[in-house]
Amino acid sequence: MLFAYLAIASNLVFIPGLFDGHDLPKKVFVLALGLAALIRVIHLPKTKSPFIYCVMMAYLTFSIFNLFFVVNYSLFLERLSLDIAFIALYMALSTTKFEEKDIGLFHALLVLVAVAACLSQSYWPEEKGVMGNYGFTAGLAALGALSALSLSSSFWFAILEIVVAAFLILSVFQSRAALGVLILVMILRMIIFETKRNLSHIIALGTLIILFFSPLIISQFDRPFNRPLNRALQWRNVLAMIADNPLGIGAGQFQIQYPKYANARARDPEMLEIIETVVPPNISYRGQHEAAHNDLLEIMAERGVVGFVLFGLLLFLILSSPKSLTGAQLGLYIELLFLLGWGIFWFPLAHPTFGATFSTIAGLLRSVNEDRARALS
Amino acid sequence: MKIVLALCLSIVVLALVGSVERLRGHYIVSTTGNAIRAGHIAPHDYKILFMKSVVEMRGERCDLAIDTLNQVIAIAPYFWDARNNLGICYAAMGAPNHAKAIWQEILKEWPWHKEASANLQEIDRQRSE
Repeated sequence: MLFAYLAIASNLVFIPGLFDGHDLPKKVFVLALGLAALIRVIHLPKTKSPFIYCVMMAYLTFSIFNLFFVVNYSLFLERLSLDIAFIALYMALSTTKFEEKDIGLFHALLVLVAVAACLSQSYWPEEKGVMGNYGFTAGLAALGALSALSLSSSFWFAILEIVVAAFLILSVFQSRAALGVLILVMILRMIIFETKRNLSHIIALGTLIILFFSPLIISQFDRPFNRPLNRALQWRNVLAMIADNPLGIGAGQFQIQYPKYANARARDPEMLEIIETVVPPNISYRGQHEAAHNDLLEIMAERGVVGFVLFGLLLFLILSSPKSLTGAQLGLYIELLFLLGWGIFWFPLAHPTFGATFSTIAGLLRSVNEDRARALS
Repeated sequence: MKIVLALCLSIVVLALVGSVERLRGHYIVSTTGNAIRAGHIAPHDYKILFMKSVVEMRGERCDLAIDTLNQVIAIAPYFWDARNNLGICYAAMGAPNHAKAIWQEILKEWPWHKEASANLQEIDRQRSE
Protein backbone atom coordinates (compact mmCIF):
# COMPACT_ATOMS: atom_id res chain seq x y z
CA MET A 1 0.00 0.00 0.00
CA LEU A 2 3.02 2.26 0.50
CA PHE A 3 3.35 2.61 -3.28
CA ALA A 4 -0.23 3.87 -3.52
CA TYR A 5 0.26 6.39 -0.70
CA LEU A 6 3.53 7.63 -2.17
CA ALA A 7 2.00 7.93 -5.65
CA ILE A 8 -0.77 10.15 -4.27
CA ALA A 9 1.69 12.12 -2.14
CA SER A 10 3.74 12.77 -5.29
CA ASN A 11 1.12 15.40 -6.18
CA LEU A 12 2.57 17.56 -3.39
CA VAL A 13 6.24 17.24 -4.31
CA PHE A 14 7.84 20.57 -5.11
CA ILE A 15 10.89 22.68 -4.31
CA PRO A 16 10.14 26.16 -2.92
CA GLY A 17 11.67 28.82 -5.10
CA LEU A 18 11.96 26.60 -8.14
CA PHE A 19 9.74 27.77 -10.94
CA ASP A 20 9.23 24.71 -13.06
CA GLY A 21 6.76 24.49 -15.82
CA HIS A 22 7.90 20.92 -16.35
CA ASP A 23 7.08 19.63 -12.86
CA LEU A 24 10.65 18.37 -12.65
CA PRO A 25 10.67 17.61 -8.90
CA LYS A 26 7.47 15.60 -9.35
CA LYS A 27 8.99 13.81 -12.34
CA VAL A 28 12.11 12.82 -10.41
CA PHE A 29 9.97 11.57 -7.51
CA VAL A 30 7.72 9.49 -9.77
CA LEU A 31 10.68 8.01 -11.63
CA ALA A 32 12.27 6.99 -8.32
CA LEU A 33 8.96 5.50 -7.22
CA GLY A 34 8.66 3.66 -10.54
CA LEU A 35 12.16 2.30 -10.06
CA ALA A 36 11.22 0.93 -6.64
CA ALA A 37 8.02 -0.56 -8.11
CA LEU A 38 10.02 -2.18 -10.92
CA ILE A 39 12.39 -3.79 -8.43
CA ARG A 40 9.39 -5.18 -6.59
CA VAL A 41 7.83 -6.50 -9.80
CA ILE A 42 11.11 -8.17 -10.80
CA HIS A 43 11.14 -10.02 -7.48
CA LEU A 44 7.62 -11.37 -7.88
CA PRO A 45 7.39 -15.15 -8.37
CA LYS A 46 7.36 -16.27 -12.00
CA THR A 47 3.80 -16.85 -13.16
CA LYS A 48 1.73 -16.64 -16.31
CA SER A 49 1.29 -13.00 -17.34
CA PRO A 50 -2.28 -11.77 -17.82
CA PHE A 51 -3.29 -10.40 -21.23
CA ILE A 52 -3.21 -6.78 -20.06
CA TYR A 53 0.52 -7.10 -19.26
CA CYS A 54 1.16 -8.34 -22.79
CA VAL A 55 -0.68 -5.28 -24.19
CA MET A 56 1.39 -3.03 -21.91
CA MET A 57 4.62 -4.62 -23.13
CA ALA A 58 3.49 -4.31 -26.76
CA TYR A 59 2.72 -0.62 -26.16
CA LEU A 60 6.16 -0.06 -24.63
CA THR A 61 7.88 -1.98 -27.42
CA PHE A 62 6.12 0.09 -30.04
CA SER A 63 7.05 3.27 -28.17
CA ILE A 64 10.70 2.18 -28.27
CA PHE A 65 10.37 1.46 -32.00
CA ASN A 66 9.50 5.16 -32.48
CA LEU A 67 13.11 5.92 -31.53
CA PHE A 68 13.83 6.16 -35.25
CA PHE A 69 11.78 9.36 -35.53
CA VAL A 70 13.07 11.05 -32.39
CA VAL A 71 14.82 14.44 -32.45
CA ASN A 72 15.33 15.05 -28.73
CA TYR A 73 16.58 11.83 -27.09
CA SER A 74 16.62 13.28 -23.59
CA LEU A 75 12.88 14.00 -23.65
CA PHE A 76 12.22 10.64 -25.32
CA LEU A 77 14.01 8.78 -22.56
CA GLU A 78 12.21 10.76 -19.88
CA ARG A 79 8.76 10.17 -21.37
CA LEU A 80 9.39 6.48 -22.01
CA SER A 81 10.65 6.04 -18.45
CA LEU A 82 7.55 7.69 -17.07
CA ASP A 83 5.45 5.16 -19.00
CA ILE A 84 7.57 2.36 -17.57
CA ALA A 85 7.14 3.82 -14.08
CA PHE A 86 3.34 3.97 -14.53
CA ILE A 87 3.23 0.37 -15.75
CA ALA A 88 5.49 -0.79 -12.90
CA LEU A 89 3.23 0.95 -10.38
CA TYR A 90 0.19 -0.72 -11.94
CA MET A 91 1.83 -4.14 -11.82
CA ALA A 92 3.12 -3.72 -8.26
CA LEU A 93 -0.29 -2.63 -6.96
CA SER A 94 -2.41 -5.04 -8.95
CA THR A 95 -0.44 -7.95 -7.51
CA THR A 96 -0.83 -6.80 -3.92
CA LYS A 97 -3.63 -7.80 -1.59
CA PHE A 98 -5.75 -4.93 -0.20
CA GLU A 99 -8.45 -4.73 2.42
CA GLU A 100 -11.51 -2.50 2.01
CA LYS A 101 -10.17 -0.24 4.75
CA ASP A 102 -6.93 0.27 2.78
CA ILE A 103 -8.95 1.72 -0.08
CA GLY A 104 -10.81 3.91 2.42
CA LEU A 105 -7.48 5.22 3.73
CA PHE A 106 -6.38 5.82 0.16
CA HIS A 107 -9.45 8.03 -0.45
CA ALA A 108 -8.82 9.84 2.84
CA LEU A 109 -5.24 10.56 1.79
CA LEU A 110 -6.52 11.94 -1.52
CA VAL A 111 -8.70 14.39 0.41
CA LEU A 112 -5.73 15.42 2.57
CA VAL A 113 -3.57 15.95 -0.50
CA ALA A 114 -6.28 18.10 -2.09
CA VAL A 115 -6.64 20.25 1.04
CA ALA A 116 -2.85 20.60 1.44
CA ALA A 117 -2.45 21.59 -2.22
CA CYS A 118 -5.34 24.06 -1.87
CA LEU A 119 -3.86 25.71 1.24
CA SER A 120 -0.39 25.87 -0.27
CA GLN A 121 -1.60 28.14 -3.08
CA SER A 122 -1.74 31.06 -0.65
CA TYR A 123 1.88 30.58 0.47
CA TRP A 124 3.54 29.53 -2.76
CA PRO A 125 2.06 31.14 -5.85
CA GLU A 126 2.92 29.57 -9.17
CA GLU A 127 6.18 31.42 -9.75
CA LYS A 128 7.47 30.24 -6.36
CA GLY A 129 7.02 26.57 -7.13
CA VAL A 130 3.82 24.60 -7.55
CA MET A 131 2.84 22.25 -4.76
CA GLY A 132 -0.04 20.59 -6.54
CA ASN A 133 -2.92 21.07 -8.91
CA TYR A 134 -5.44 21.32 -6.13
CA GLY A 135 -8.58 21.77 -8.21
CA PHE A 136 -8.17 18.47 -9.96
CA THR A 137 -6.84 16.64 -6.94
CA ALA A 138 -9.91 17.89 -5.10
CA GLY A 139 -12.16 16.58 -7.85
CA LEU A 140 -10.50 13.23 -7.70
CA ALA A 141 -10.52 13.11 -3.93
CA ALA A 142 -14.10 14.13 -3.49
CA LEU A 143 -15.38 11.67 -6.09
CA GLY A 144 -13.74 8.80 -4.27
CA ALA A 145 -14.86 10.10 -0.90
CA LEU A 146 -18.42 10.57 -2.11
CA SER A 147 -18.60 7.02 -3.32
CA ALA A 148 -17.10 5.66 -0.14
CA LEU A 149 -19.51 7.70 1.96
CA SER A 150 -22.49 6.68 -0.14
CA LEU A 151 -22.08 3.22 1.26
CA SER A 152 -23.13 4.50 4.62
CA SER A 153 -26.63 5.78 5.37
CA SER A 154 -25.54 7.72 8.44
CA PHE A 155 -26.87 11.29 8.75
CA TRP A 156 -23.45 12.66 9.66
CA PHE A 157 -21.88 10.97 6.71
CA ALA A 158 -24.51 12.60 4.51
CA ILE A 159 -23.59 16.01 5.96
CA LEU A 160 -19.93 15.29 5.38
CA GLU A 161 -20.76 14.29 1.83
CA ILE A 162 -22.40 17.66 1.20
CA VAL A 163 -19.41 19.52 2.68
CA VAL A 164 -17.00 17.54 0.52
CA ALA A 165 -19.14 18.17 -2.57
CA ALA A 166 -19.22 21.93 -1.83
CA PHE A 167 -15.45 22.01 -1.39
CA LEU A 168 -15.05 20.10 -4.59
CA ILE A 169 -17.23 22.40 -6.66
CA LEU A 170 -15.52 25.52 -5.29
CA SER A 171 -12.12 24.03 -6.00
CA VAL A 172 -12.69 22.86 -9.51
CA PHE A 173 -14.48 26.06 -10.45
CA GLN A 174 -11.13 27.40 -11.68
CA SER A 175 -11.44 25.07 -14.64
CA ARG A 176 -14.52 24.91 -16.87
CA ALA A 177 -13.39 21.57 -18.28
CA ALA A 178 -12.89 19.99 -14.87
CA LEU A 179 -16.28 21.21 -13.70
CA GLY A 180 -18.00 19.89 -16.83
CA VAL A 181 -16.32 16.50 -16.53
CA LEU A 182 -17.11 16.39 -12.84
CA ILE A 183 -20.83 16.95 -13.42
CA LEU A 184 -20.89 14.24 -16.12
CA VAL A 185 -19.01 11.77 -13.95
CA MET A 186 -21.27 12.46 -10.97
CA ILE A 187 -24.34 11.78 -13.10
CA LEU A 188 -22.69 8.59 -14.32
CA ARG A 189 -21.87 7.66 -10.73
CA MET A 190 -25.52 8.00 -9.78
CA ILE A 191 -26.58 5.84 -12.72
CA ILE A 192 -24.00 3.16 -11.84
CA PHE A 193 -24.96 3.31 -8.17
CA GLU A 194 -28.65 2.90 -8.89
CA THR A 195 -28.26 0.19 -11.53
CA LYS A 196 -27.88 -3.36 -10.38
CA ARG A 197 -26.38 -4.61 -13.66
CA ASN A 198 -22.67 -4.49 -14.38
CA LEU A 199 -22.22 -1.71 -16.91
CA SER A 200 -18.43 -1.74 -17.11
CA HIS A 201 -18.22 -3.00 -20.72
CA ILE A 202 -20.75 -0.43 -21.93
CA ILE A 203 -19.06 2.38 -19.97
CA ALA A 204 -15.61 1.35 -21.24
CA LEU A 205 -16.76 1.39 -24.85
CA GLY A 206 -18.74 4.63 -24.39
CA THR A 207 -15.77 6.33 -22.70
CA LEU A 208 -13.43 5.36 -25.52
CA ILE A 209 -15.89 6.62 -28.13
CA ILE A 210 -16.33 9.93 -26.28
CA LEU A 211 -12.58 10.35 -25.78
CA PHE A 212 -11.89 9.63 -29.44
CA PHE A 213 -14.59 11.78 -31.01
CA SER A 214 -14.57 14.75 -28.60
CA PRO A 215 -11.46 16.46 -30.03
CA LEU A 216 -12.57 15.71 -33.60
CA ILE A 217 -15.95 17.33 -33.03
CA ILE A 218 -14.86 20.16 -30.71
CA SER A 219 -12.01 21.16 -33.04
CA GLN A 220 -14.65 22.18 -35.60
CA PHE A 221 -15.80 25.00 -33.31
CA ASP A 222 -13.20 27.60 -32.43
CA ARG A 223 -15.64 30.11 -30.90
CA PRO A 224 -18.43 28.21 -29.17
CA PHE A 225 -20.86 30.58 -27.42
CA ASN A 226 -18.78 33.48 -28.82
CA ARG A 227 -15.89 32.61 -26.54
CA PRO A 228 -12.51 31.67 -28.01
CA LEU A 229 -11.49 28.06 -27.63
CA ASN A 230 -7.75 27.90 -28.25
CA ARG A 231 -7.69 24.17 -27.68
CA ALA A 232 -9.82 23.65 -30.80
CA LEU A 233 -7.27 25.56 -32.90
CA GLN A 234 -4.43 23.59 -31.38
CA TRP A 235 -6.14 20.26 -32.03
CA ARG A 236 -6.58 21.09 -35.72
CA ASN A 237 -2.83 21.52 -35.96
CA VAL A 238 -2.23 18.33 -33.99
CA LEU A 239 -4.43 16.49 -36.49
CA ALA A 240 -2.19 17.85 -39.27
CA MET A 241 0.81 16.55 -37.33
CA ILE A 242 -0.80 13.10 -37.07
CA ALA A 243 -1.63 13.08 -40.79
CA ASP A 244 2.04 13.85 -41.56
CA ASN A 245 3.40 11.26 -39.10
CA PRO A 246 1.07 8.24 -38.96
CA LEU A 247 3.80 6.16 -37.30
CA GLY A 248 4.32 8.80 -34.61
CA ILE A 249 6.99 11.35 -33.84
CA GLY A 250 8.32 9.54 -30.78
CA ALA A 251 7.52 9.72 -27.09
CA GLY A 252 8.09 13.13 -25.51
CA GLN A 253 8.60 14.83 -28.89
CA PHE A 254 5.36 16.81 -28.99
CA GLN A 255 6.83 20.04 -27.61
CA ILE A 256 9.74 19.77 -30.04
CA GLN A 257 7.68 19.13 -33.18
CA TYR A 258 4.55 21.18 -32.53
CA PRO A 259 5.92 24.63 -33.53
CA LYS A 260 6.39 23.21 -37.04
CA TYR A 261 2.65 22.53 -37.22
CA ALA A 262 1.40 25.47 -35.15
CA ASN A 263 0.36 27.18 -38.34
CA ALA A 264 -0.67 24.11 -40.35
CA ARG A 265 -4.48 24.30 -40.20
CA ALA A 266 -5.15 27.16 -37.79
CA ARG A 267 -3.19 29.99 -36.30
CA ASP A 268 -2.47 29.00 -32.72
CA PRO A 269 -2.71 32.20 -30.66
CA GLU A 270 -0.94 30.66 -27.66
CA MET A 271 2.23 30.32 -29.71
CA LEU A 272 2.37 34.12 -29.88
CA GLU A 273 2.42 34.56 -26.12
CA ILE A 274 5.70 35.66 -24.65
CA ILE A 275 6.93 33.92 -21.52
CA GLU A 276 9.19 35.86 -19.22
CA THR A 277 11.33 34.01 -16.72
CA VAL A 278 10.69 35.37 -13.25
CA VAL A 279 14.26 35.08 -12.05
CA PRO A 280 17.53 36.41 -13.47
CA PRO A 281 18.69 36.25 -16.22
CA ASN A 282 15.15 37.50 -17.05
CA ILE A 283 14.74 36.03 -20.48
CA SER A 284 11.64 36.14 -22.59
CA TYR A 285 10.72 33.68 -25.29
CA ARG A 286 7.65 32.45 -27.07
CA GLY A 287 5.52 29.85 -25.38
CA GLN A 288 6.17 26.28 -26.42
CA HIS A 289 3.15 24.00 -26.12
CA GLU A 290 4.41 21.14 -24.00
CA ALA A 291 1.32 19.04 -24.53
CA ALA A 292 -1.57 18.67 -26.95
CA HIS A 293 -4.10 19.29 -24.16
CA ASN A 294 -5.83 16.10 -25.16
CA ASP A 295 -4.37 12.84 -23.98
CA LEU A 296 -5.50 10.63 -26.83
CA LEU A 297 -4.47 13.09 -29.56
CA GLU A 298 -1.05 13.40 -27.98
CA ILE A 299 -0.64 9.64 -27.81
CA MET A 300 -1.71 9.33 -31.43
CA ALA A 301 0.74 12.06 -32.46
CA GLU A 302 3.66 10.67 -30.47
CA ARG A 303 3.14 6.90 -30.72
CA GLY A 304 1.37 6.77 -34.07
CA VAL A 305 -1.79 4.92 -35.00
CA VAL A 306 -0.51 1.51 -33.81
CA GLY A 307 0.49 2.90 -30.41
CA PHE A 308 -2.86 4.64 -30.17
CA VAL A 309 -4.77 1.41 -30.89
CA LEU A 310 -2.72 -0.44 -28.27
CA PHE A 311 -3.36 2.33 -25.75
CA GLY A 312 -7.09 2.27 -26.53
CA LEU A 313 -7.10 -1.49 -25.96
CA LEU A 314 -5.28 -0.95 -22.67
CA LEU A 315 -7.89 1.56 -21.52
CA PHE A 316 -10.69 -0.77 -22.57
CA LEU A 317 -9.18 -3.64 -20.59
CA ILE A 318 -8.77 -1.44 -17.51
CA LEU A 319 -12.29 -0.01 -17.67
CA SER A 320 -14.13 -3.17 -18.63
CA SER A 321 -12.45 -5.44 -16.07
CA PRO A 322 -14.58 -4.88 -12.93
CA LYS A 323 -17.04 -7.69 -12.44
CA SER A 324 -19.20 -5.48 -10.26
CA LEU A 325 -19.21 -1.75 -9.55
CA THR A 326 -20.02 -1.60 -5.90
CA GLY A 327 -18.25 -0.55 -2.74
CA ALA A 328 -14.59 0.32 -3.06
CA GLN A 329 -14.57 -0.46 -6.77
CA LEU A 330 -17.13 2.22 -7.58
CA GLY A 331 -15.02 5.01 -6.04
CA LEU A 332 -11.89 3.89 -7.86
CA TYR A 333 -13.77 3.43 -11.11
CA ILE A 334 -15.27 6.91 -11.22
CA GLU A 335 -11.92 8.43 -10.28
CA LEU A 336 -10.48 6.78 -13.38
CA LEU A 337 -13.34 8.15 -15.47
CA PHE A 338 -12.78 11.63 -14.04
CA LEU A 339 -9.08 11.53 -14.97
CA LEU A 340 -9.85 10.27 -18.46
CA GLY A 341 -12.60 12.84 -18.99
CA TRP A 342 -10.35 15.60 -17.80
CA GLY A 343 -7.83 14.33 -20.37
CA ILE A 344 -10.11 15.66 -23.12
CA PHE A 345 -8.91 19.20 -22.32
CA TRP A 346 -5.70 18.57 -20.39
CA PHE A 347 -2.98 15.91 -20.19
CA PRO A 348 -3.26 13.98 -16.92
CA LEU A 349 -1.88 10.79 -18.45
CA ALA A 350 1.25 12.59 -19.67
CA HIS A 351 1.72 14.44 -16.38
CA PRO A 352 4.08 12.66 -13.97
CA THR A 353 1.96 12.70 -10.84
CA PHE A 354 -1.49 12.43 -12.40
CA GLY A 355 -0.23 9.62 -14.62
CA ALA A 356 1.08 7.90 -11.50
CA THR A 357 -2.26 8.56 -9.80
CA PHE A 358 -4.11 7.01 -12.74
CA SER A 359 -1.98 3.86 -12.81
CA THR A 360 -2.21 3.57 -9.03
CA ILE A 361 -5.99 3.74 -9.08
CA ALA A 362 -6.12 1.31 -12.02
CA GLY A 363 -3.81 -1.08 -10.14
CA LEU A 364 -5.91 -0.88 -6.98
CA LEU A 365 -9.07 -1.47 -9.02
CA ARG A 366 -7.60 -4.59 -10.57
CA SER A 367 -6.43 -5.87 -7.21
CA VAL A 368 -9.83 -5.33 -5.61
CA ASN A 369 -11.55 -6.74 -8.68
CA GLU A 370 -9.54 -9.94 -8.67
CA ASP A 371 -11.11 -10.56 -5.32
CA ARG A 372 -7.80 -9.84 -3.61
CA ALA A 373 -6.14 -12.60 -5.56
CA ARG A 374 -2.66 -12.18 -6.90
CA ALA A 375 -3.02 -10.88 -10.44
CA LEU A 376 -0.05 -12.87 -11.63
CA SER A 377 -1.48 -16.18 -10.45
CA MET B 1 9.51 -11.12 -18.95
CA LYS B 2 12.26 -10.54 -16.39
CA ILE B 3 14.73 -9.62 -19.13
CA VAL B 4 12.28 -6.99 -20.39
CA LEU B 5 11.80 -5.68 -16.86
CA ALA B 6 15.57 -5.52 -16.33
CA LEU B 7 15.87 -3.52 -19.57
CA CYS B 8 13.11 -1.21 -18.34
CA LEU B 9 15.00 -0.83 -15.08
CA SER B 10 18.13 0.39 -16.86
CA ILE B 11 16.08 2.82 -18.98
CA VAL B 12 14.45 4.29 -15.86
CA VAL B 13 17.81 4.63 -14.07
CA LEU B 14 19.24 6.45 -17.08
CA ALA B 15 16.22 8.78 -17.28
CA LEU B 16 16.33 9.40 -13.54
CA VAL B 17 19.95 10.54 -13.79
CA GLY B 18 19.01 12.83 -16.70
CA SER B 19 16.02 14.28 -14.84
CA VAL B 20 18.08 14.96 -11.72
CA GLU B 21 20.59 16.72 -13.96
CA ARG B 22 17.83 18.88 -15.47
CA LEU B 23 16.37 19.55 -12.04
CA ARG B 24 19.76 20.72 -10.76
CA GLY B 25 20.14 22.97 -13.79
CA HIS B 26 16.71 24.56 -13.32
CA TYR B 27 17.32 24.94 -9.59
CA ILE B 28 20.58 26.80 -10.21
CA VAL B 29 18.92 29.10 -12.74
CA SER B 30 15.98 29.74 -10.42
CA THR B 31 18.02 30.43 -7.31
CA THR B 32 21.21 32.04 -8.62
CA GLY B 33 20.39 33.03 -12.19
CA ASN B 34 23.68 31.48 -13.27
CA ALA B 35 22.61 30.11 -16.65
CA ILE B 36 26.20 29.41 -17.73
CA ARG B 37 26.77 26.99 -14.85
CA ALA B 38 23.30 25.50 -15.32
CA GLY B 39 24.08 24.96 -19.00
CA HIS B 40 27.17 22.95 -18.09
CA ILE B 41 25.18 20.84 -15.61
CA ALA B 42 22.20 20.17 -17.87
CA PRO B 43 23.51 20.20 -21.45
CA HIS B 44 20.45 18.33 -22.76
CA ASP B 45 17.84 20.86 -21.63
CA TYR B 46 17.13 23.20 -24.52
CA LYS B 47 15.54 25.88 -22.37
CA ILE B 48 18.56 26.10 -20.06
CA LEU B 49 20.88 26.13 -23.06
CA PHE B 50 18.81 28.94 -24.56
CA MET B 51 19.19 30.95 -21.34
CA LYS B 52 22.93 30.27 -21.43
CA SER B 53 23.13 31.55 -25.01
CA VAL B 54 21.29 34.76 -24.07
CA VAL B 55 23.73 35.39 -21.22
CA GLU B 56 26.61 34.81 -23.61
CA MET B 57 25.09 37.24 -26.10
CA ARG B 58 24.65 39.84 -23.40
CA GLY B 59 28.32 39.37 -22.52
CA GLU B 60 29.12 40.04 -26.19
CA ARG B 61 30.47 36.52 -26.68
CA CYS B 62 28.60 35.75 -29.87
CA ASP B 63 31.14 33.10 -30.82
CA LEU B 64 30.18 31.09 -27.74
CA ALA B 65 26.51 31.89 -28.19
CA ILE B 66 26.57 30.50 -31.75
CA ASP B 67 27.88 27.17 -30.45
CA THR B 68 25.27 27.06 -27.72
CA LEU B 69 22.45 28.04 -30.08
CA ASN B 70 23.50 25.36 -32.53
CA GLN B 71 23.19 22.86 -29.67
CA VAL B 72 19.71 24.22 -28.90
CA ILE B 73 18.62 23.96 -32.53
CA ALA B 74 19.98 20.41 -32.78
CA ILE B 75 17.65 19.26 -29.98
CA ALA B 76 14.77 21.71 -30.65
CA PRO B 77 14.87 22.55 -34.37
CA TYR B 78 11.62 24.54 -34.35
CA PHE B 79 12.48 26.82 -31.43
CA TRP B 80 12.08 30.02 -33.46
CA ASP B 81 13.52 32.35 -30.82
CA ALA B 82 16.76 30.37 -30.75
CA ARG B 83 17.01 30.60 -34.52
CA ASN B 84 16.29 34.33 -34.39
CA ASN B 85 19.10 34.84 -31.89
CA LEU B 86 21.42 32.77 -34.05
CA GLY B 87 20.67 35.20 -36.88
CA ILE B 88 21.50 38.14 -34.60
CA CYS B 89 24.80 36.49 -33.64
CA TYR B 90 25.76 35.94 -37.26
CA ALA B 91 24.87 39.55 -38.08
CA ALA B 92 27.00 40.75 -35.16
CA MET B 93 29.87 38.53 -36.30
CA GLY B 94 29.76 40.14 -39.76
CA ALA B 95 27.84 37.51 -41.71
CA PRO B 96 24.66 39.38 -42.74
CA ASN B 97 23.80 37.04 -45.60
CA HIS B 98 23.80 34.05 -43.30
CA ALA B 99 21.71 35.98 -40.77
CA LYS B 100 19.23 37.04 -43.45
CA ALA B 101 18.82 33.45 -44.66
CA ILE B 102 18.04 32.33 -41.10
CA TRP B 103 15.38 35.03 -40.55
CA GLN B 104 13.81 34.34 -43.93
CA GLU B 105 13.60 30.68 -43.06
CA ILE B 106 11.87 31.48 -39.74
CA LEU B 107 9.33 33.76 -41.42
CA LYS B 108 8.64 31.15 -44.08
CA GLU B 109 7.58 28.66 -41.42
CA TRP B 110 6.23 31.07 -38.79
CA PRO B 111 5.21 34.38 -40.41
CA TRP B 112 4.24 36.01 -37.10
CA HIS B 113 7.71 36.18 -35.63
CA LYS B 114 7.87 39.96 -35.11
CA GLU B 115 11.51 40.07 -34.06
CA ALA B 116 12.73 38.10 -37.07
CA SER B 117 10.68 40.35 -39.34
CA ALA B 118 12.08 43.50 -37.69
CA ASN B 119 15.64 42.14 -37.90
CA LEU B 120 15.19 41.37 -41.57
CA GLN B 121 13.89 44.87 -42.29
CA GLU B 122 16.72 46.42 -40.30
CA ILE B 123 19.42 44.51 -42.14
CA ASP B 124 17.84 45.40 -45.50
CA ARG B 125 17.71 49.05 -44.45
CA GLN B 126 21.35 49.03 -43.38
CA ARG B 127 22.42 47.46 -46.65
CA SER B 128 20.44 49.96 -48.75
CA GLU B 129 22.16 52.81 -46.92
